[in-house]
Amino acid sequence: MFMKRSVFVCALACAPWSAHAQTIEQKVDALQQEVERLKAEVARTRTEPAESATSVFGYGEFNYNRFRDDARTSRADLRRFVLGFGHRFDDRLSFNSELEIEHAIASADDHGEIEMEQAYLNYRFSDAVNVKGGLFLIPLGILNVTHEPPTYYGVERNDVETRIIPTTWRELGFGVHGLLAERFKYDAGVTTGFNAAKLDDPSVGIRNAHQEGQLADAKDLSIYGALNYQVPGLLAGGGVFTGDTGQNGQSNALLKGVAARLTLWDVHAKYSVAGWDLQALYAQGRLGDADRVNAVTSTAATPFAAPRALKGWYGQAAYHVYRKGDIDIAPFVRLERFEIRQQEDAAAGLLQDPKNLERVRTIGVNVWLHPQVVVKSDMQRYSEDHTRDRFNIGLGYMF
Amino acid sequence: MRWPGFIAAPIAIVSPSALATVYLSVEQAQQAIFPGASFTAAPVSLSDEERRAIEKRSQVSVRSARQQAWRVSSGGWFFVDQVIGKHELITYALGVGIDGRVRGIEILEYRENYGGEVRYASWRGQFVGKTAADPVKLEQDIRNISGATLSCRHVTEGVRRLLALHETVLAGR
Repeated sequence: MFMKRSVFVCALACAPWSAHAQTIEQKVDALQQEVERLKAEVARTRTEPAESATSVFGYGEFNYNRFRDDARTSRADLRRFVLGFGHRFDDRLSFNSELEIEHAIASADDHGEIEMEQAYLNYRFSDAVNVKGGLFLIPLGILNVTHEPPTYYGVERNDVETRIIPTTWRELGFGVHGLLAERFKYDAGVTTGFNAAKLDDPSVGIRNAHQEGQLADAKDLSIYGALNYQVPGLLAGGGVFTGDTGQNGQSNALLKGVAARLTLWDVHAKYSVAGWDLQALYAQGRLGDADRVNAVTSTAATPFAAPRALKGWYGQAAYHVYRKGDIDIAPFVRLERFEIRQQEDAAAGLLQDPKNLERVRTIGVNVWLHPQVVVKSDMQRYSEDHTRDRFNIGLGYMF
Repeated sequence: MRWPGFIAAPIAIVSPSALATVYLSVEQAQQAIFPGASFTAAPVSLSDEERRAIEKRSQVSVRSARQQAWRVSSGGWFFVDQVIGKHELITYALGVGIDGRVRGIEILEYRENYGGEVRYASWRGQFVGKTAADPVKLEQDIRNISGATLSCRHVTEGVRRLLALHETVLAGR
């Protein structure tokens, strides 16, 4: 308000002279023009909604999973409730965060978790160069960066971007990101990495070794880089993340001297044309020294918890059959394949678990009641492990 | 009370409305869309009836009864408007020709870390030639930029609202 008032006073005071008016008529003309400009300025201040430097946003989802096989428990769950807080300190420096509650209640006796999904500061030098520091999302795949339920098909996040790329995957560190030449988006940096000592479940790949910004072992750091090509209707790109995970034996002294380098990369594309949404992704990873990690972390229950190699792909097609006002209905199909290759010991009878070489078919529909509110339903069939076959219903929102 | 300079100076730097990255001034946007023309401020005040008519035509709510607008010497109208991107305001300008067709759209101020792709000429160019009779809907006749969906959607809705305003309120003037 102060600034606007000072602009007003200055404009009134300076305008006639700045115009170098020679005659009274010219002065009146200049003054008239200035009054017109100020009228517009006043109109503008009246039409502008109140602006706050602090913003609150959020998303969430309610899911129902009904398994065909009674060996699995059918459940309804407030899967995620996320609140985001952002603040702009000035036109260059800002803060962004997401606080998540999973499974509705978090306490010592419950299954829920409270976790920080993101919390970072961003300094913008220009559109092309931003520097961020803190806890932020690793830009691999499509879902890890954009994971609000109304933005993807299917009640559950796809298996490849859960078991191969461990969505929602975030690390502590620094990154540089920006937009280039009106078609490229890049993001690269140095962050914390995985901790091999935490590997305990090969069915989810390297997921359980991620540290989520919680007292992360950081003797070994990782680097990442991602590049995406974006034009209206098309996104195509990829990313890579690599770093040692032995962490100098900080969590398990037997891992001292074991590098256990993990490298994960992906390529993906998303194309929308004539009512179709087409999407495909390929991801691959390798854990070095997997046998040495297994020698240290093996238990009777999970002898080979560290996978040697991971890969997966999916293809997905959706078609918008009905759109009127905010209502948008799009059935979709998705075919997925993921492979989590384990160490084997034939002599001891320890062989690759076939359930970790899986094919998944999903068919369902997304119904948007509003672009930011979605009702989803789908059926999933697993080729190897039929006990995972299920029917899902979900409700999701973002604001 | 007088504040010492070393306290007052930083406060002045972060004073209100300095929080956006300004890409273009109103005058620069005017010349970008209607080169060589001159502009006469003609802010529009909407009656309740007119607001309802615009909402009905565009299916977008009209939050303010006042709209910044300029008459263009060569014919047509120039608007400056604001929409929310993801959670911050985007200030943009729209030029509508005498035939009711979009002449151009420019992003004046943008405030968020992500979603800045709405500034891409390839995205903005999709609006050129649109009229109030076109759908002007994201993912229908306006293609989305992945990762900037909310910014794209809300600017698209803003343009649809302004085209409806132009058609229902200004076209006869």
